[in-house]
Amino acid sequence: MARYYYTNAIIWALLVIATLFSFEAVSFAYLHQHALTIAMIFACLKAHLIAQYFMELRDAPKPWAIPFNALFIVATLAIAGIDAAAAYF
Amino acid sequence: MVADDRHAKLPGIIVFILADIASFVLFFIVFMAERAKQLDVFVQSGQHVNVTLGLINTLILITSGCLVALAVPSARNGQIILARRFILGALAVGALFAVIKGVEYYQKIQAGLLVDTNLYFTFYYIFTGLHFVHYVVGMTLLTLVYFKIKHQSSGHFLWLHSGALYWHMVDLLWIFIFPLLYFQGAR
Repeated sequence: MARYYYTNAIIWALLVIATLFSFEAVSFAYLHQHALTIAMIFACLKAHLIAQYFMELRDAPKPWAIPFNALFIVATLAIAGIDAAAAYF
Repeated sequence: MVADDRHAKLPGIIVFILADIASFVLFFIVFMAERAKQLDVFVQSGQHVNVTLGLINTLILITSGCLVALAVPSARNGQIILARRFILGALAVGALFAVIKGVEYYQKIQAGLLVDTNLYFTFYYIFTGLHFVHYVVGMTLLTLVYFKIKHQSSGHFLWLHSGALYWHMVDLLWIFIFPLLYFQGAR
């Protein structure tokens, strides 16, 4: 039982750190042109942590977890890809 | 959703959540495609949103989600009083999201940044508005769960589990909406 409390506390801390880090990272001038891509990568990692640990999908049958992670990756790649295309073409 | 629950009858809520997230992903792609056509408008408009308030709301939903995530194993372990305290905590923290959102909408309206100002703000109000509808449904579900699990009636755990999964979906959607709308001005 205590395992869940410790695990969730650690995941919460990681989510807060990732949120603050992405917030700080995009404020660096030299990262400005990649701000959205960097933020989306952090968003994808955070979504993965929420799905795996808060939603307990790590213990669920794989067919339940795979589509979630696939959606997060598709969203991140699509947004980053269109962002790159808009910036460079 | 531990090993014992692997064959529990929960696919309905899982399918609903997946479909809902997929719909939002399609909206995100439409947003990005429109943004590519008016990059300067979107980047300039993005400078008018309050990133700090968006950040605070992200931290609020993460914290509220964590409390809901703690309620599930507590209830599974028979600690219903503790589970209800976690749900109550999640509701209290979650309520702050609406307050912050209200402040944000008020600031936008006062500044004359409305749904018809430009395409960025049309998307801003659609995304945050749709998310807010999900948020209200989530808060309502958690309130129902808080009362339902008190009596430990049949299916009370299914209520808790489904409500928790829905609340995590509200969190997941915001995790993507936040950078998409609020980090536009960082370019």
